Amino acid sequence: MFDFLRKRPRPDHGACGLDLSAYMDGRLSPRARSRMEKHLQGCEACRAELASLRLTVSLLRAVPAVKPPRSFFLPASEAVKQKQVQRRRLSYSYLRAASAAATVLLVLVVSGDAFLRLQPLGSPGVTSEVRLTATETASQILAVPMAGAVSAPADRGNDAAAMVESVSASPTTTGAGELAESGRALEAAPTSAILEPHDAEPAARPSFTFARPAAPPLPHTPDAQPEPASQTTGVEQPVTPQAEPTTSPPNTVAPPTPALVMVSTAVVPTPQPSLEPVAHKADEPPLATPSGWAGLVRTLRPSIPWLERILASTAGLLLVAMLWLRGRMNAL
Amino acid sequence: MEEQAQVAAARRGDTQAFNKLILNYQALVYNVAYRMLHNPDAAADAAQEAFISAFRALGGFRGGSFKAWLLRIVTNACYDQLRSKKRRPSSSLDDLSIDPDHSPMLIDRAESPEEHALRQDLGRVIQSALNLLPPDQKLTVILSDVQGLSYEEVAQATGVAVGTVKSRLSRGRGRLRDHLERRQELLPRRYRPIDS
Repeated sequence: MFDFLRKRPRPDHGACGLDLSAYMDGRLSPRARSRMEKHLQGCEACRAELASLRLTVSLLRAVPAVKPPRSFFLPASEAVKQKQVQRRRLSYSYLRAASAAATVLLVLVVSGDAFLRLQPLGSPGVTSEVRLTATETASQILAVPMAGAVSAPADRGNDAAAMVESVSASPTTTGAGELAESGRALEAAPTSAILEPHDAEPAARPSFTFARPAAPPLPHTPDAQPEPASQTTGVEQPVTPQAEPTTSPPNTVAPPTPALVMVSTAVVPTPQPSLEPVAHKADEPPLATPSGWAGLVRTLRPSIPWLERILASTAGLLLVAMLWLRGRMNAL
Repeated sequence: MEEQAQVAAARRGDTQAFNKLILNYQALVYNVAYRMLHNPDAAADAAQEAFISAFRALGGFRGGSFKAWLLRIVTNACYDQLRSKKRRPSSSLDDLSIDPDHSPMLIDRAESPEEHALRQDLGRVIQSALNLLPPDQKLTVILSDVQGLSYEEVAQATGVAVGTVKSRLSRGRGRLRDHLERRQELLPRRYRPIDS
C-alpha cells in the first residue's frame, strides 16, 4: 500500500549521471555511448533507472492533444496595423540615427569650442605657426620658377620676390595685421596652379564643378587657362582670401614632364566659369529626383543600425579625445 | 517551399497567407501554451497574442525554421502571462472549476469513450506533475517529449544552446519520473507498468 513511499536507491555513477537521458535519445557521441553500454551491462540500478525514464517519456508522449477552443485567424484589418507598426519602427530607427548624429554634432561643437577657448586664434603660437606655413608655401611656389621649369616674365618675378621678402622678413612679434599685409602682398603675385602635363583641362575647371555628374565642358582657351585664385593650395587660402584676378601676358609653359610642375598662369578676367555656378545649373538635371531619394532611402534602410552604431562610437571617441586634450592642456 | 511562399506573402501584408500558416500551427501553438499555463483562456489569449506579434514582426524573420521562430514567440507570450499572474495572483491557474481535458469537444471519434477517459486522466496527472517543474524545464519537456520536437528545434524555440536543452531535459525528466513514481496510484491502471 505504501509502495510509493519506498525510495528507490539512486545510483551515484559519475559515468551516467545526466547522460542517461541523452543516451535514451541517441544523442551521445559513439565513444560515450559505448562506455555507457558497457556500464549498463554491469549496473542493474542504472538499467532500472533507464527503464523508468523510458516509461516517463512514453507517458509524456501519450498525453492527449488539446483541441484549440477557437480559430486564431487574423482579420484583414491587421494588415493595416502591420504597416503602421513597421512604419513606426522605421521612423523610430531614423529617429535613433538622427539622435546619434546630433550627439556627434554636439560633441564636435562642444569639443571644438573648448579647444578654441584653450588655444585662441590670435595667440602668438598660432600666429607664428600660420606665418611659418605661409612662408614655406610661398618659397615652395617660387622655388620651381627659379629652377627654370617655368619661364615667367621679369616683372612678375619681381612681384614674387617682393612677396617673399614681405613674408619672410616680417618680425615675429606682430599679429593679425601683419598677416593681412602679407596677404595683400600675395594678392599682387601671379596665381599659381598645379597642372597635369598631359591633360590640362581638368585642372583648369573650377574646384566645385567636379561633383556634378553631367556638367557641360567649360570653355577654355588653350594658351591662357582660367583659374580661380582660391585653387592655389589649402594652406594659402586663409592668407589670400580675396585674390582678385590680374591681367598679365600669357606665359610660356615648359615642355611637359612626367612629374607635376608648378605653372604660373594668368587669369583671364572675361571667361569666368568658376564664378557662375548658377549658369550651369539651368542646363543640368537635378542631382537627385524624388524617386532617386526614395531608392537611396530604401538602399540605406538596412544600414541604419550600423550607421547609428558608428555615429555613437564616433561621439564617444570624440568625447574621450576632448577630455584627453583638456587634460593635456591643463597639465601644460 | 509552400510555407516559404506563404511567409513571403505574409511579410508583404497578405493576411490570407498568414491565416494559412495559422491553420497549420494553431494546434501546436495552443497546446504548448495550454501545457505551459494550464488554463484554456490564458492559453487562447497567449496563442492569439503570439500570432498577432508574429504577423507584425515578420519583417524581422531572417529565415530558418518558421515553426521554431513561432514557438519562440509563443513561449515569450507564455512567460509574460506567467509573470503577470505572479504579479496579480487573483486566482490560481490550478483552481479550475471546469477541467478542460474533459471537455466534450476534445473527444476523438477514433477512440472509445473508455480510452478517451483514460487518456484524459493521464493528461491530468501528467499536467499536475509538469506544474511542479521550473518553467524552463517544463517548457523543454513539453516541447521535446509532449510535442516531439528535436533538440535543435527546442534550442531554437527556447533560445538556448543544445547542451542546455540536454541538461534541462534530463533534469526535468528525472523530476517527473520521481513525481510519477511517488504518485503512481493516481495514474490509470493501464499506465502503471510497475504494478502490472
